Amino acid sequence: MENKKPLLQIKDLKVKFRVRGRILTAIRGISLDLYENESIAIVGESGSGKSVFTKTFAGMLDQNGFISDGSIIFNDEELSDTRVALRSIDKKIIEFTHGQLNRHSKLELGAEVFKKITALKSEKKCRETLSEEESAKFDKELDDLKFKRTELFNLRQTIDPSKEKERRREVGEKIKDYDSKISALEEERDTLIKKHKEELAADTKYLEKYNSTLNSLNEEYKTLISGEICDEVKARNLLIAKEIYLSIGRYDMTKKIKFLFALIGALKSAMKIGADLSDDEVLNKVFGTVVFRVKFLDETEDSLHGTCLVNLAEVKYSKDWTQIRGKKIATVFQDPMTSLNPIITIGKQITSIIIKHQGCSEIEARERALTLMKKVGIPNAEQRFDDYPFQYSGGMRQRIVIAIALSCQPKILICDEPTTALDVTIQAQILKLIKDLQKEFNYTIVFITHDLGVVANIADRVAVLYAGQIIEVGTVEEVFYDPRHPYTWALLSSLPQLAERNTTLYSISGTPPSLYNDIVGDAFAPRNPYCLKLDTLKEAPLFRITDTHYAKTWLLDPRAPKVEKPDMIKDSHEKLLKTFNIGSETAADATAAAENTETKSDREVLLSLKNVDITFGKGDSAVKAVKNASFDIFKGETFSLVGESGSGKTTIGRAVIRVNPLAAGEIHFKGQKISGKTSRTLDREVIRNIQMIFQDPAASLNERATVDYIISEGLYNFHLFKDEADRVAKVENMIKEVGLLPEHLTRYPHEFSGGQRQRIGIARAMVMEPELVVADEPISALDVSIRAQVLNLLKKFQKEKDITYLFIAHDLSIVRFISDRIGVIYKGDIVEIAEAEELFRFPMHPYTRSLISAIPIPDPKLEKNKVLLTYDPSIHDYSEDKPELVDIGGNHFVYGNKAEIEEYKRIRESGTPLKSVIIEGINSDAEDKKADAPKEDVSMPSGEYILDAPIHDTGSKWYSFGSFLLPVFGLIGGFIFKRFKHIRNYKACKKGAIAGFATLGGIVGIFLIALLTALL
Amino acid sequence: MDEKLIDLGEFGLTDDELFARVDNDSLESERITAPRYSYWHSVFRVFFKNKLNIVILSLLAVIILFSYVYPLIIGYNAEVDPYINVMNPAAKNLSPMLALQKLGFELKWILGTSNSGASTFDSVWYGSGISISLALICAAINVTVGILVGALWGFSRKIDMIMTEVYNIIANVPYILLISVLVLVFSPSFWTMVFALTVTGWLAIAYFIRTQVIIIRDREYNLASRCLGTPIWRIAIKNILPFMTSIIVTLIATEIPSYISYEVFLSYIGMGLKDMSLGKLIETSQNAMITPGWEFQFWSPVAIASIIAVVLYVVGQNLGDASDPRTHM
Repeated sequence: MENKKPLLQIKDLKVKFRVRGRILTAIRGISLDLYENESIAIVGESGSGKSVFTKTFAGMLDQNGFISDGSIIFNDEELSDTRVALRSIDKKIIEFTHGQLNRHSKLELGAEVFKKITALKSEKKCRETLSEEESAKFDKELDDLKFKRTELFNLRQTIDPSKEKERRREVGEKIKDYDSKISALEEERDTLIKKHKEELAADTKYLEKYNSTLNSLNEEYKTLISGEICDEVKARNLLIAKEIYLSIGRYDMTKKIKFLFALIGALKSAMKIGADLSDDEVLNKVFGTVVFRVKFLDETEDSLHGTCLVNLAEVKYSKDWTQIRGKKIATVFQDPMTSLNPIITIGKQITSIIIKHQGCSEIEARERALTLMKKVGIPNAEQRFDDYPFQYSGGMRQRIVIAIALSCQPKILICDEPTTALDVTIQAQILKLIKDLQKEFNYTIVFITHDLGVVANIADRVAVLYAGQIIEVGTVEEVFYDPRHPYTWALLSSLPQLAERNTTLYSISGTPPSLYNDIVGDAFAPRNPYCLKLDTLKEAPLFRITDTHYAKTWLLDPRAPKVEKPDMIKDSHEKLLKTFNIGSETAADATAAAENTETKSDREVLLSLKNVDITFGKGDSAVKAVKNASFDIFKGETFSLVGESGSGKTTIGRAVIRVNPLAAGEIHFKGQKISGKTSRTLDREVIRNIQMIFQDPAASLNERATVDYIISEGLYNFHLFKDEADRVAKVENMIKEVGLLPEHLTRYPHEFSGGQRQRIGIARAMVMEPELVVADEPISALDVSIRAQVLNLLKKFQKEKDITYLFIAHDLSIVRFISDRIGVIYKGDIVEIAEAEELFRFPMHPYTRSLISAIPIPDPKLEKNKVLLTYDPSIHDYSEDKPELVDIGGNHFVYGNKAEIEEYKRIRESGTPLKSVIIEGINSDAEDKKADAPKEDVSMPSGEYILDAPIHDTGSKWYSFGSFLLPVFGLIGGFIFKRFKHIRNYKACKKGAIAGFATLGGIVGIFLIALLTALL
Repeated sequence: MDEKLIDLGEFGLTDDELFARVDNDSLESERITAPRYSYWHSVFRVFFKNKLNIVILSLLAVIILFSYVYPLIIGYNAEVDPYINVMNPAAKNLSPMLALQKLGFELKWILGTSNSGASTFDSVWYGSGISISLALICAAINVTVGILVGALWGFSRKIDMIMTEVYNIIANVPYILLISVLVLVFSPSFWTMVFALTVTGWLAIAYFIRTQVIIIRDREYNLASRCLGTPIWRIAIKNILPFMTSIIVTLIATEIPSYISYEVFLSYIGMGLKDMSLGKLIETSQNAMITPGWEFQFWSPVAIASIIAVVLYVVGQNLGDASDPRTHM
């Protein structure tokens, strides 16, 4: 990377929050440089501080958050360049300031003596109380004792008062011990201070000398400050006066006056102590206490010109932020459902931002908005301009959010996990959109995510965050192919794409540390399998590996033992090539692999769906969620149902546990029909044997019940225990199996992290010893490293208890690792069912192929050159030839009409695996590429071409008022305005006229009624 | 490259020791270091953190003490004591100062005497005892019935259809009108008042609870409980009711003062109890409001009634807020 000037320089940033009386340090010292036109990904677990980090430099921290240290320098010429008009009143103010400064400059003459006076006074004070070293010593000891006491106090709070009374009492006594030590130390300090005071009062000789020196110094001082200042100093003061005016020029009158006097006061204090006011650094500091200093560059007859250093950490006033947010730094948030205002049309939302920041007319804004909408890929932009957000789908909404963010062409676009809530195919499209727009608009992308595949796709550089610090930063190739920090190793190792089937996934144990306490040493040490003793004692600095690659671990110190990265992530590139059939696998390899899979014909069918239809709603507005679904699940296997949101997979899952009623078809469990009305005994048996694990760990647990009750709920319902002791034993057993401690049984769900809550949910389902478990996207809401834990747990239960899973997911990479057979569902139709490896080797249906191509591969070389396949349902011609789910051989079912089935059978017979993932440069030819739907060639009107907003189109209130008083004139005026395209005025007149007419009508009406009643 | 090595001498260990590998116990890392959470503990902590609540709560305690315990202590007999001075014209309608002078320096003359020579102080406390009892009993009945019916109403869709129609009809009859008619029809004794106030009072509460139940009913953890086979009554008690503690407390706290005001109003328009409740006192001393020197007769019961209502409202609201788990976080 060339030596570009960084756009944003963050140095030693520390961000803290005040939470319930304690201070939480969310960001513990981050230094990062952002350059123009690059894209950097910020990776981390939840709680690592990534969202807080980006909110800080957009100025959107919560009320209780504050920046305690560090600076964020924003190098943008437009923002730093300041011009202030110089009218006669401004010149007068500058003169006034100059005069004040000259007056105060006299203090500078006596600065030396002033320093001597203050030194003398402070020396006396030191003698009176404590000297520097003594005071420091006491403080350190007190801090130490207080720290230990707080730790013990926190420990006592965690002990269960009903079970461990002894221990609680012990700790309580230790706390009292510390308390007495602290008060003894404080007493000692107070007596020492008193002793010093008495000594000083008795030392008359010293006091005499002190008084005489003080008097002589004061005399000297007085004579010095009545002298005259030289011309140089006057010239310098004029310069400072101009800079003062430049710095306050952007505010309104009241603030200006306030700041003016504050600045004069600050400069006076600086002059008193003789600070060197011709030095830039010193001036910056002095100014910085009040406002940003704008450095004087030049002036013309009627304006001043200066430049300033914008430090975003010091921006105090919200008016300053309005210049930055939206215009220079824009954010795209995670949830498109809630990012848009639901009661304002989409068009209005975009145009209002454009009008606000660029000050153009409504018509011009509308044109720009339409251009933007077309650029982000909204079809039929004109018709959809006036639609409301609920009429858009999730992916469309996210595109609108991106359009809004880009409407003012910001320099930095912050994307806070924008695709986590979207399906895999939409995610791929949105990522492509962001990258394409970057080529056109030239902004920097800051992408926050915890998905390494997405990082490989979109990032040039990666910064890995843990517990509020950057622990590794480098280019994306360096971090993926040559990671150095154990945490990065752990993250890469827990990817399911790299794991072999039927092995345990690597997972990181434990939870991130609590950021309330000060952390001694490395924050990752307790969970680090490569932990060194030094990691527990001292924090490592950022070691340099290459010019662009830095990592914060003691393993890079020359004295540390040589540790290689774990085997699992060695040769990750080759492993991925093989996994995705990108290399050259021959037909022989394929048939050999196919023979290795077991024959399944003799297994027992546990669950069977036959021609299931599920419909929501009645009559005309009925929605067919699931159409004619049929599949079987064998005992002991994991069957995965994959599809996008809205495809019907959750509906099928809920139908299996009999929450959703079927409109047609049957569900058989162990040979018996369980859909529709069932006898009570069958009902009870089925409830017991079919359990469900839910998606959202927060919502699926009862917040007001202890974990003990939550797990035993099922046991109570079915009386599955002999007596209380038995129940307790069962529950404790189960909680140990899921990896938590028995002491957690008396706690409430909100005290646990997401992964732990999901494990409690699994324990709740497993304690019933079911035969079939429906897992409804159990890991989509969890972090990548926690997913591995949960998946391992599920596999463990399957092995030990021979449980069958119906696994519902939308992420094919996870599904490939965990499942035996996979079913793909698209908009209510099941389009393909096959064994896992078979499906990835021979993805027949075009939808399956597009799904596979959309999976983000965690490898930069592959992911960046991947070609995205899109699925368009109109390629099927089902008018004549009706489609069905047909077996094309090897237990592989595909949905298609006769012509397509013939084609599929032929491909499968040939035996060569299909290339579902196409990488440019490795296995693609020009003909293989399927192009995206071509976008219309629209270009944004350049900056100079601005349709001049008619200057008089102000839409002023007086037009409304005038039209209200004289409605007829208002109407006529409105029409004239409309003809001349003064839209705002037209609207104002229209409003006023209508109001006027309504009032007139009301008055006339009342008059008529009164007349009628008087007559009758 | 010859880089300067970082000085690690501060720990007093050799390089080998510092760079030695350390094994971590994985289970240790599962420990939760947050303090233990107890619901009611947090409720009272949040409630008492606000000093105003302590003041108001003590005021409430004082009032209740006086209303119930004071008449017992002095052996107040409602049939006899108000009339001991009925024959003595000089003892009627005295302001506090005059009463203390003429009738002796006792606590019971501190608010003067009434139209029939009775001690205002005594009758006010006796009356407020009756009013509070009335309000408490009515509130208890209405709230219990209301919650039970409301929970059932919220759960079952069939009952929902029927009850909504019933509610639409009955709730549109003005409540005051209904009570007045019932009191007129039956003789105005304590228990008929209770009957009148509770015959349809529970309906509004039931409707309120029903909407809350509907909001919580479809959340995922209730679905999970159904999947585990939990019967409906246990879902209602364990899953739904705990979330409504905050709402129920606020409800009770606003219902009690409203019954006091209903009773005062009814007595004021002449349809109240025969016993000397607060409302009756206010009604009988109406004229004293503007007659100079006789004001205490009127304003004392009014003041006490208002204080009770305000105090109960404030305590109820703050307790309701404190019961909401979100304020504990």
